[in-house]
Amino acid sequence: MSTSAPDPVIHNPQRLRIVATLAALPDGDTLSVSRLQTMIGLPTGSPIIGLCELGHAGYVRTAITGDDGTQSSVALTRQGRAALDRYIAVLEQLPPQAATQPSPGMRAGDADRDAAAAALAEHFAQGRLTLDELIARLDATLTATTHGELAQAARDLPDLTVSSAQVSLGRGKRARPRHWPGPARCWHS
Amino acid sequence: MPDDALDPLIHVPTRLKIVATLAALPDGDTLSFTRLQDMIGLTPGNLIIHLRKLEEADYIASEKTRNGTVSITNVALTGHGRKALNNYTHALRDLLGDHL
Repeated sequence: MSTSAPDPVIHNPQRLRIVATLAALPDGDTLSVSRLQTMIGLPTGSPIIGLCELGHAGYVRTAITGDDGTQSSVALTRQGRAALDRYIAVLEQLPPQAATQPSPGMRAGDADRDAAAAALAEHFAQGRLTLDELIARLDATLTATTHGELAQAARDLPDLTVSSAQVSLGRGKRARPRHWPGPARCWHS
Repeated sequence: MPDDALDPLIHVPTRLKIVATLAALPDGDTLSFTRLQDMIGLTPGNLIIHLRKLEEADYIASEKTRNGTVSITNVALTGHGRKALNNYTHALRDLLGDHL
């Protein structure tokens, strides 16, 4: 896995958290180290070991600022941003997860029966079923108790859905989770 | 670490690759040890150690079948392992958010 191994400097969970947090800042903005510590869930004042290693790799730069020289701020370098992009590209090369099919014996719920009935109606609309066939299959579908019975009622019909159950690391916009601290208030020197 | 912590068992790059490769199989399918080894490019000893760790956590299941003198080991992801990978994927997405 020489070519497709994720960058070990970024892959470490704490450093990954630091890089992701810094990458959320607009270009050119910096973050105070104490604010960063709060954001990644470390008690204020505890040393961020990860920052040293990221600094050695040239991914972040820290600067001593403030009147008394005790405040330090940190930002992602262009090199760090490029490394994160490469890191994400490596993750995206991982094979996408196969859609999971419920086993035939798995009990079906109302939502499953409704979805199967709606699919039958669509096949009728597309001319694959006659009205009599539709009624017979709807009966079977709406009284089905297992996924196997649902599949049986649709055994000779093509799949209408484009696998939507796929979970992969591919591109796709996701809403920010609630616990995400949001874009950092920039620390201006 | 909060609830979005990255599962350390999956986070190790080699194991991430193993789990992702097995997760790409349809449910119920297995992969032979040698095939998996080819796909991931590991030495047998290395792969065995990672598989054992994943098996101890019930993330994968392996089955040895004997066919005369040849024995073949087949490996598959368990439901538990698939769930763990899903959680891991979500945690990573939460972390990288807009960048993915």
